[in-house]
Amino acid sequence: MHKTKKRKRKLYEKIAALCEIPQESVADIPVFVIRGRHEVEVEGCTGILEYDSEKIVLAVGKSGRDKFTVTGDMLTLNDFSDRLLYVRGNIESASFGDTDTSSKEEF
Amino acid sequence: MFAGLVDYFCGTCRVSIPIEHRREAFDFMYRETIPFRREMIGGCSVSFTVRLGDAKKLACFADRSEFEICFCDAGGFPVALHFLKKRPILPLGVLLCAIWLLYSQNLVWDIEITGNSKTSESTITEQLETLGFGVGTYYPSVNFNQLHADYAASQNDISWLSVYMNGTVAEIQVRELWEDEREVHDSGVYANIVAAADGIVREVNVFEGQAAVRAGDLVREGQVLISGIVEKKDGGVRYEYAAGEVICETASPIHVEVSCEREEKQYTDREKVRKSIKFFKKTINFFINGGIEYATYDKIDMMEQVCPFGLKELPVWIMTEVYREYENVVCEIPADQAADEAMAQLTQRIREETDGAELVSKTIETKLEDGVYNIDCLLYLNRDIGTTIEFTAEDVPETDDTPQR
Repeated sequence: MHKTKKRKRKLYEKIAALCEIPQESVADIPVFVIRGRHEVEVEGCTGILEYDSEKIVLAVGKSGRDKFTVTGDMLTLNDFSDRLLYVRGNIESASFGDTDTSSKEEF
Repeated sequence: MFAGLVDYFCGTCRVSIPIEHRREAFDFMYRETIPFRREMIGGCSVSFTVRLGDAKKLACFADRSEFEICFCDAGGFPVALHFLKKRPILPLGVLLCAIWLLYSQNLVWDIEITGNSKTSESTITEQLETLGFGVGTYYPSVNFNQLHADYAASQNDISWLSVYMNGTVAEIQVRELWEDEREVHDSGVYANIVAAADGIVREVNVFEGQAAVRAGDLVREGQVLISGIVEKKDGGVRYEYAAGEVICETASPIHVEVSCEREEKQYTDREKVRKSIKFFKKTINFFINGGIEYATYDKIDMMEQVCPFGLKELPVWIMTEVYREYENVVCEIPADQAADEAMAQLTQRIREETDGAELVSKTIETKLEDGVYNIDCLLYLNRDIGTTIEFTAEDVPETDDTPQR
């Protein structure tokens, strides 16, 4: 099952590369747009796992098992629409997985 | 802006949830795509604004998740509608006001008069009201040409009048009639100038007629000063309407007395206020008609035109009648105060007496007697004492063909 999904994703990636279009338009992958230090646009979020003013953890990806963590100060979630939300506040870091994971982007 | 408008028509309310359930609530809202605004953290709860429909979904979710949820500050169109449903008189009142406003656009709200100098605005307004035009008149039914003609025919002060409706304000322009003020005497009527008081003649200026006195003469009240019967050279007489001035030195006594004991008004602090409202031509009293039980009272009338925010005067007047009770109390004033008051009265009297006259000299005597302060003053004035007395040729005895002296 897991192998089939992986194959499917690779196929989508190849199609996107062939057609020279963004991958997210054919493959169901989350998109993160970071605007300065104060806003992160998250597309493809599947749930909110943790929410307080210093740390927000979002479930992303089709399975919902991937995590996207934003830490900082005065963090809020805003403008919920279909599969899209905004994290606003004084952002210190954004990372995949929980805060302790290695793929971390420091601001 | 558009979202705000949708929020208003959908209705909104504030939702408050415990802060420990914040994640579940927001996760639910995200999954259900429930929009929210103005998230605020206060103590151990977090609150935000959602639409009324979404608030119901949140309430169901809170029931399932077993946490407490509070709703407050509901607003928007559905809430306003609910409010008005319970109070049907309010929209009815607004509707009636709107109808009345639409109707009153055709009524005269105010009258502005220009071009008048000798005729007062109130006179013109009253005259127009007698012709059926005033504040509150339904002006589409007014025949203005007829009104102009009727007004011109009904009086002698205004030669021309025009009424121009500027919105609901009647702008009235008038041109006044100035009569020829030259004195025209009836045919066969003549006059003598006679003395109105005793005095010594100082100066005689004859414009018409023949002088009957000279400077230095002592004249008595009623004596002819300038005669309308003029001697001709052939010995006969002719009649004229005598005119001129005869300046005489006269004595005018003035007596002023001020009592130290007097009755004064003392208000008892009891008063009655009656209010009424005048709306166009209608007057509505806010009191029940009845007598005033006070034996002695002052009545003060006040009339105030309503002018919201000082912008525009409306045809609405608030009338207030104040009835203030008083008692007459005998009190005594010091002699100094009585003297001051007497002197003030005397000054006023002298000012009146010397109007149009020249003050030659004066003597003043004062005395305080039996609690009364008396001032006796004698004024010597140079003034014209001539007064015109008309006569006809029939009044003159036939045998008396010489001017009276």
